[in-house]
Amino acid sequence: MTTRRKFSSGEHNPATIDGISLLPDTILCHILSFLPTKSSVRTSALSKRWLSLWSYVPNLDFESEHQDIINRVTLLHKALTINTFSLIQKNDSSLINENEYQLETWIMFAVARNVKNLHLSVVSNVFLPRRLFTCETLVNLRLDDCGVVPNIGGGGVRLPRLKKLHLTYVLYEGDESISNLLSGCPVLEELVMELIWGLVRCNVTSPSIERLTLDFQSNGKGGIGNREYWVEINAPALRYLKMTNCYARDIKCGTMNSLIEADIDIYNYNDFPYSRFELEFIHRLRNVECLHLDLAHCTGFYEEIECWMEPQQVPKCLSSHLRFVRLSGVGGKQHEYEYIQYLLRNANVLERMEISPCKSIGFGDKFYMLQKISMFRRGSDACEVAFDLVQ
Amino acid sequence: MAAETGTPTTLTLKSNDDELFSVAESAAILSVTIRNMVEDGCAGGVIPLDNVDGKTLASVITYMNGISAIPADEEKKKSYRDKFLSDKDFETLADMVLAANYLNMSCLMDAVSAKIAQVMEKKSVGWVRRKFGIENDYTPEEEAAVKEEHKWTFEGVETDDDN
Repeated sequence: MTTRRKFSSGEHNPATIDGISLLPDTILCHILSFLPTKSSVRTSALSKRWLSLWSYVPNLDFESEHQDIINRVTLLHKALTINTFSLIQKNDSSLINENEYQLETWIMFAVARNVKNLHLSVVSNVFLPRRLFTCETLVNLRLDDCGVVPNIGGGGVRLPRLKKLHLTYVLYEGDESISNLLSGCPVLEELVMELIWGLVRCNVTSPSIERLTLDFQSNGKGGIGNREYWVEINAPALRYLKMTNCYARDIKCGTMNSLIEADIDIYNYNDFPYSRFELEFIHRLRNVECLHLDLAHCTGFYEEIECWMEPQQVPKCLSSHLRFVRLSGVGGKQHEYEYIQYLLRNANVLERMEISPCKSIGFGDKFYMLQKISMFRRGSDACEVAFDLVQ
Repeated sequence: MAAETGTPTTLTLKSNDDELFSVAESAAILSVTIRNMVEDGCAGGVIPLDNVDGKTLASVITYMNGISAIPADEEKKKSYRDKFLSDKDFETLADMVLAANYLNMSCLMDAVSAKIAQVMEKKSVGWVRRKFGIENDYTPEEEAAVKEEHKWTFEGVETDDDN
């Protein structure tokens, strides 16, 4: 298919003569697919040709529209397949109250049209329909504050094309909801989970995941969330791991030989010396080249036990892989100096260490910290230490 | 293909107004249409591109060379695309989207389509008609009826300016 248009050079071609009307319908629909649905439907008033073009656009993108509008548009929409169905409710939860079937109806609409990308950000605490978890076309699923993930055992989850899964503040029927869900996602590459209260065991087992983000912050509506949980990660293909606000009582990791970048922020817990705890964890990051550690949550509560204990064996990643380290939230405490000294002395291939002190530290103290750290012996001649004095 | 011999292979592309362009094969095969011709062994002489004029083809080749010089870094590619399209008027964008469609270059197709969409997103019906040369063939009554049918879409539309 092509619409011919030939301009000979020098010919005057004001846009008002041909313009957009020379583009075929398929291209116009493609252009409309980049618009929010509201703007796309508005083009129906341009001319007769545009009257129902919007209804063949394969993307539906609603932001803060009333549920009656969404229902109307989905009824009038004619495309047989949907690439992207995105429903974002920025204002409050009044949208789908008192109708327990509404969310399910929209999900079923999208699933029936072989949706590839589904993004729902709608406050709701109804169970997500089981049919969603056997949607064979789904590539990208993102749920924000939306619905309860059912616990579907017995191989009942079949998401053979799902590559990206983002679950933010969703609820889970049970601890096994996550592991059962993951067991039906054979090609999943990226998992982002922001967790809320109630989950006791978080088991991430997947042979295919390459990027994993776990944020254990509660839903921001108060408190720091449940501290009594266990984390288990069995993801041998993992290349990037980010774990923040983690109060975990225990973190179990299988082999992570593919991991090359880690961004870790673990809170002190119970009676374990903080720095030692992090080093124990680094021990498991065997091949990591790029590491970011946030030390800000080493609070004063455990001052008396924050003693430094040098491990018997230097972690492998430290001695032969680590090229870049960023330490943030450094407070200038004695055990932190010892920790930094240990890292610099043993990181034989380190190229750069970046240090950002706590915001509360004055300029003078920062300068003292910089002087002190710059005197530490370095295992790697090429290593430079960058210090953020301004922050 | 070329990489094994050490010398980059160059292809010759011909526009529908008979302009000839040389382009590195590694950049040209961003076009699936051209890649298929190369793989089928049809790229020995001159590759005729009957649906692209010389002015547009020159622009597309600039894009091919620019984007293929950037290593696999989606952020940098995106900022190159944004910069590349920033000074293009609508007429050029319309030519480029047709060319990208014919050449089967999805990254260019998406970037240009998104750019056109961005231009029209918050504009009034009258502004889009004027800017994009769309003839209004509705009677006033028909137009009023369509607008009434979708009146929820007319909130938040910008007041017209002539840019």
